[in-house]
Amino acid sequence: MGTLLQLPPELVHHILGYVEPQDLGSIIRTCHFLNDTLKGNTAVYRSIYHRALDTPPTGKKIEWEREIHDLVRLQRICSSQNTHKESHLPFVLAAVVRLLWNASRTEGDKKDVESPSLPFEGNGSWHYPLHAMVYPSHPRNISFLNFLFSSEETREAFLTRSFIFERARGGRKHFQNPPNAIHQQSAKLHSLFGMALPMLDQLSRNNTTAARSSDSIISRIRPFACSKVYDLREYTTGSGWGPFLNDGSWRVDWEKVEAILLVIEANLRKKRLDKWPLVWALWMKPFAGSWPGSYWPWGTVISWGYDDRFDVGEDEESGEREKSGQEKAKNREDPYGVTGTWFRVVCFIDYNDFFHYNFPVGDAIPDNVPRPLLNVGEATRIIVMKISVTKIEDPGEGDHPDYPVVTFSGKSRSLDASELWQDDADSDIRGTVRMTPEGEVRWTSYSIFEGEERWKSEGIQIGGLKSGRGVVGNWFDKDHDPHGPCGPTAFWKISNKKPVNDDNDGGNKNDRLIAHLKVALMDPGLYESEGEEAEPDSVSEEDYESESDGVVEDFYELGDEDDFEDYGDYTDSLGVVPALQLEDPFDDDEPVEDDESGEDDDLGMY
Amino acid sequence: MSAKQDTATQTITLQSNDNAMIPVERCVAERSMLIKNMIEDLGDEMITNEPIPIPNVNEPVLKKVIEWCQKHKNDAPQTAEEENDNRKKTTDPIDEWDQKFMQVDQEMLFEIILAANYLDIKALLDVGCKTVANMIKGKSPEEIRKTFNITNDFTPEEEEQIRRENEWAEDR
Repeated sequence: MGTLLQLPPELVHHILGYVEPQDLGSIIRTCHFLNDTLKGNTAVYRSIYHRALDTPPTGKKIEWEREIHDLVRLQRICSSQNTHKESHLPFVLAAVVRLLWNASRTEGDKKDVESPSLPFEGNGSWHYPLHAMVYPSHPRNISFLNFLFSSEETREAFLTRSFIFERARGGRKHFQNPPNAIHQQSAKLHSLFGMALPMLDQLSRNNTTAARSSDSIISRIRPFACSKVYDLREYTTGSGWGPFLNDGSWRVDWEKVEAILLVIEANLRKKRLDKWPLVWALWMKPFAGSWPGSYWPWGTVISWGYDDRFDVGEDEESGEREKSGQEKAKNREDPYGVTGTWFRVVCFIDYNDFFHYNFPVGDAIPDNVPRPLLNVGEATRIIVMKISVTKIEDPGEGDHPDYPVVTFSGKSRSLDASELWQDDADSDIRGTVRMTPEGEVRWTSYSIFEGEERWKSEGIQIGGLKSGRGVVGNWFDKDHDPHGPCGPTAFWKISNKKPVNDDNDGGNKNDRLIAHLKVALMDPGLYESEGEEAEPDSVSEEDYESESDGVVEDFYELGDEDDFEDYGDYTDSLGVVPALQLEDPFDDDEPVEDDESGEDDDLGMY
Repeated sequence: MSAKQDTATQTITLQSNDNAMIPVERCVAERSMLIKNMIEDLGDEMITNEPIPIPNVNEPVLKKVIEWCQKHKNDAPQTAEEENDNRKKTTDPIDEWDQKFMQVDQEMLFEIILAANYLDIKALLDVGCKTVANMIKGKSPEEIRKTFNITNDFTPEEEEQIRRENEWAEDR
């Protein structure tokens, strides 16, 4: 009894359950006995799967053998030096999506007060290990995906194959309709990946020779993305003016989603918010929050020991109790996790710029040709939305039959609006959430100012039901004004707290979370980890202060100075509020490719 | 000193299949679920007077297994719960002491695995199986055959067929 093959079969199975997936290829080619032992051996493959990856959500049917084979194949493709590996994109996308969908749920929708173990160091400084996961449950599938996409070659092969990247490479000049499948697949993978591509590109360029650093496609992509996002021709009846294909099917147009993410990323970076925890934790960590059930209440830990026991608001559970008897009877539940506090980013360009871009004199651009590069200054608004479910109804025609349509309403408040725009700082918001026939969570919202609906938005939730990433889409005039304006927006949930109804301010005045967010927005540089100064588009102090003046005013109104004493010096230095500059940085007769010029000017809202 | 501690430190005798008598602390022997259950069945009195026969394990292997149990006698006992949720345990790397412990010839390694399986010492079985799996790690089919003294019984046609059936494992 001295060799491996002489062991009883159950012990050989046991041993094989401990091998690494990538060793299986060798094992099956060793001899008949091991080959036969592994073939169709669900128990062994199941055991290998459980060692390598997350336990899939209960009720999911997993083909263990196939999943392990695909895992090995995926890893081989991603680590291969083959320069033409992008031909594997359809397989890579499908395998990545399954890894995401089978990742472990965080159950963050059931938690609020508990703090996940973020790398938090007391006095407002944060330290991020760049590639480490910050999720408290450390999903292995996500770590694995992080590892796969840690190589620049892999990212370039699979994440930069959409039309705008092809256009930036000089290869493509015309749209295709319907869009090219490879373009869509790459854009979908990139959207699931997140916003980290420019940051990682910058890092790898910092580490390579200067000659290369000047010509990375990724570093030049913003004007290409803007050219798509601010092109009114993309906003069609067939697409519902949202990030959907132009055929009325409500299938997601992932290239629109990708372009929106690139534009928002550039704006967050310009405002130095890219390393801010609420952005970083979700968007700058590859694939973080891109799977169903990955929502985590980041907002409760983000703000220096913020403790929402003192918050004005009720948690969702007590809200549940308020549900009308009728709803209870129907045993309806909101599967989308709508109720709570959401963090929203809205970007826009000056309306003059917008109009000149979309309606140039003697416009002769054919429908299948993109507009010129758009390289004008953009402005960004950071908004907190507090919404709660008002109605849950059966799906209608054109909705996914298995999921309800949830209606919500609430308040939204702009955190960085200056005095000039106080009227705009608060608005009502209402909307619906539904599942598209394709299985994507679709959000529609209306912003209501002084009783009148003004803006509408359409978006999809990246990562599906209760994902952490939240919703990405377009905003536009609620009547679909053919002259615009329109632009990109994204929002993601930061807390399960629901607003209190008897307060016509939605509880915002006394909300400590909002107070903390405002202070955080005053100096996002606080969040940059030590020794990482690579900020290609840093904003000049002057621009920056003009952004922040409204924050300071409101901050004192809150009268909660004890919490903020560390920031006394900073607020003092802002005692004089600089005049808001309304500039028109547009010099567009021929938009230039150099994305460094002109874009740092910040705009006022029109 | 409580009665429980008394019985834990009491010495019992194991009898290997080659009739060696090996004295061992009771709590050490009880790392083996088989022995633990036998002690429960036989009763305290019986085991203080009679050796417990271990008919499937010889002296050198039994001594080696007891050495492992001695080192791990203070580990948390295995529970039914752990069996169900063995996810964490199975992904832990082998600790340093166990790695050294497992640096034995292959014959002994497989004997330890067999003994751990027979004696129902799950943690030791896992360490043994992980050690074998680590010996496979990163190896080509030919290297695996060499390591475990396996004969290649495939015909060239069969090798080609396996290659075709398992595209997922091919370099690309």
